[in-house]
Amino acid sequence: MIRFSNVYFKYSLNDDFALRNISLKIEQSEFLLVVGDSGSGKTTFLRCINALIPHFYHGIFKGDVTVNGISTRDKSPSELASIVGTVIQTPQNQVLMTTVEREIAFPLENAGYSEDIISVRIEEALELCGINNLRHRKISELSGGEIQKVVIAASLVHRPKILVLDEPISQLDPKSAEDILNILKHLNEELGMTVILAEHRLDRTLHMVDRVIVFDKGTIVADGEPRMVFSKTDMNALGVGYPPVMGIALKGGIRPPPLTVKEARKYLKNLLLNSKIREPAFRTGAELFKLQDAWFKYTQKWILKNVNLGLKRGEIIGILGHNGAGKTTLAKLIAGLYHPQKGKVLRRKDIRVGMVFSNPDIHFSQDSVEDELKLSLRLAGVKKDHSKILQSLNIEHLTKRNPRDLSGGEKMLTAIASVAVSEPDILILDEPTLGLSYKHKATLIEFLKRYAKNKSIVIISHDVETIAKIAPRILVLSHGTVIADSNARDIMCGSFVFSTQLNRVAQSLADEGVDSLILTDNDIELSGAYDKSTLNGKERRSQ
Amino acid sequence: MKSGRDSDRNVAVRSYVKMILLRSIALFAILFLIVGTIVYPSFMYDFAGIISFILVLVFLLQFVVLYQLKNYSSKEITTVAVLGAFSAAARIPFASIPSVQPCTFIIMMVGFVFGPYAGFMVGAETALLSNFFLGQGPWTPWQMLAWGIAGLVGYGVSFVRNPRAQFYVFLLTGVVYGYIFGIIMNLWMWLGFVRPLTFASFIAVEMTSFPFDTLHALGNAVFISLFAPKLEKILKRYSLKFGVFLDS
Repeated sequence: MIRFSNVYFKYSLNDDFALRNISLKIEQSEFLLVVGDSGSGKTTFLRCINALIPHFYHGIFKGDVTVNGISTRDKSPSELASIVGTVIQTPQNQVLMTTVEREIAFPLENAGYSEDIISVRIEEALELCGINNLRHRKISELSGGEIQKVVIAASLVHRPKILVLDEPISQLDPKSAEDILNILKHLNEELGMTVILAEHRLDRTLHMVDRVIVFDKGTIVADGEPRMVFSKTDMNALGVGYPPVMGIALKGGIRPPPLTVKEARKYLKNLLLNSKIREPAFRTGAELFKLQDAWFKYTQKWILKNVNLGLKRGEIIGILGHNGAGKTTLAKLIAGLYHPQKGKVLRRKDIRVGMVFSNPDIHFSQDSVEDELKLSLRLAGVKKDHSKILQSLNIEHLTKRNPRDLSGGEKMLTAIASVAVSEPDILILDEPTLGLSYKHKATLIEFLKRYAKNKSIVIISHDVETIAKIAPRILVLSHGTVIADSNARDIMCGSFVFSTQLNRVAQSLADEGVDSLILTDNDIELSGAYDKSTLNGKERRSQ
Repeated sequence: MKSGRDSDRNVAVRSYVKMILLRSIALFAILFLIVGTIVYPSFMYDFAGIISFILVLVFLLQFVVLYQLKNYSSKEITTVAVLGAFSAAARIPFASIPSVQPCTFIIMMVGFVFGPYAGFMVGAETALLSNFFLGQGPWTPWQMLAWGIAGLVGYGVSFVRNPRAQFYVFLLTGVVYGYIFGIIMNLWMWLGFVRPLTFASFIAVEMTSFPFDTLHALGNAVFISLFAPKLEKILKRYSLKFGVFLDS
């Protein structure tokens, strides 16, 4: 059991309290989802449970946190490690060893377990997370999603009573995300583990959990059973948003709102029958970049095989694919960081390319967000006002802050701003929705749509919902080969894996007259005039 | 909880025992020198190289034990270890330019921000670790000593309170320390390989190293003026964010 009593925390370098008067009780074997806007205190809350606060992060800590009767003031994180397993937001930072097996063995070796126990536990953890094939691989050669699974496996070897995960599926492809969530469900239901999960991707998590707590500016504003909390509270205002099926149902006045696709099939049928597809109008210009029969490898194995790709001005391409398919490598070829060993790259001389990496930390070299942007402008030789982009990304309040002190989502937006500020002709974004709340995602989507008017954008993401809203063209990579490159609707509609939640509802209702081409809530026309997003959509089209 | 404190006490007791042991070794070494000199008048002279080597080693060990006695947290020890590794790694790319490397200034800055113990340890680690790449030898303990003292000197600069004066004092100290570092290393050379051991022969050794020491001093000046304010900011920020203070 975890008990928070009147907990306050302020990081030493921040002015405001990150947590304010938090009091709650979490029973053993609960499955808890923590949601909230970027920077609302979710991560800080999780850090209190594994005792990183007050032992690792320095600041003002008031109140008391007890975990299974032990006060976190008395025990250090290492002493709590056998009770609380932790997966932090950036899994790359959690890895210590060079190979997967050694990494998973490390926590136990450190705690002095015998060899027999260690080998059994490693096997168990690898099997559970489905990564036995990675066992002897080098960590440095793994993709972001694979590292995420390794870190989760490493957190399980202690057989902890409580598992704390900060956005554990953010870098996983839909299938792997589903796998990991099923593992968590299994651990919770069969082994009675308490699972505490902070996550922005509600469509995959909300229906699995027993309880959800909502953070806003460091306080808990709602706490309870998911369906109840989400129907009573205005989640859009809190920056959390709704899972797509639930959002539509609430807008259409359907109560109680459905949580799962299965429920949505029943509840949303009438609503969906009235919907119309709106094809996004987009114009494309001259070709900026072209890859012809490109092959690329780092060492022995070909990572990219025979890739053909043309990129025109005004285009937004979404790249989908399983973990380790070569998506980031392809992005690096486009950015010119690597050159294919075979094949041709045609890039117009006068264009600039900017790339945002999935780990925003590596973008930062200056002491304030403002200086970061100024540096980008200076390096690109562009003279421009840097404050505009902060406004359009809705982060102007961060101007003077040190980028390293920001929350995960705020860091990502700052990294995107620092690359996009010099307006490169091709903007490449690797997992740009990492750590972004609903509110920030919406801002980012608007920003990128505007940006793409006379530039082109390449987005790599596992966040199918965002890709569906943003990218008219989608490219699917599998084991280094482009297996599909076409219109978003052609690829997503009817796909088992890469479809959106609403599309899954629509697909199964296709026989009953629902248009199976529905992808996002933008496609659904509601009769009431209160649906603002639809109205905006109309206006934009008529212009 | 109780056991944790007990084990802390055990560590402290063990460290005291080690300290006493080391003190007695040091005392024994000095006695040995005196007795040796009485029995065999040119003892110190003939074995100057090996004797000085042992004395330096004993001094370094004393400092390591003193560092242990401070009972730093694992977070603080990790910080010192990482900074030592960073400083050692920073030496290696500069190996081809004689005497020019950023280590001296990094070590001084660590001493400046985190205090004498961290400074000395980072300095000693720098020499020991980087010599695994560049070559270990009887010079290693002397280099550990010379860079360790750079950490202490850096700590000394922190007594200057005026922030503007601080930078210039730091710069000047860096330049001067380039030559002091040379003197310490020449002492090794002189005691071990030069005979007769006279003031004139020491000056001769000093003359041969002068150009290299000047390079070291100039290198320090360049690194300090380019990177010192930035590094200071980074270390102080880190110290505040994670509550790693050591003796700052």
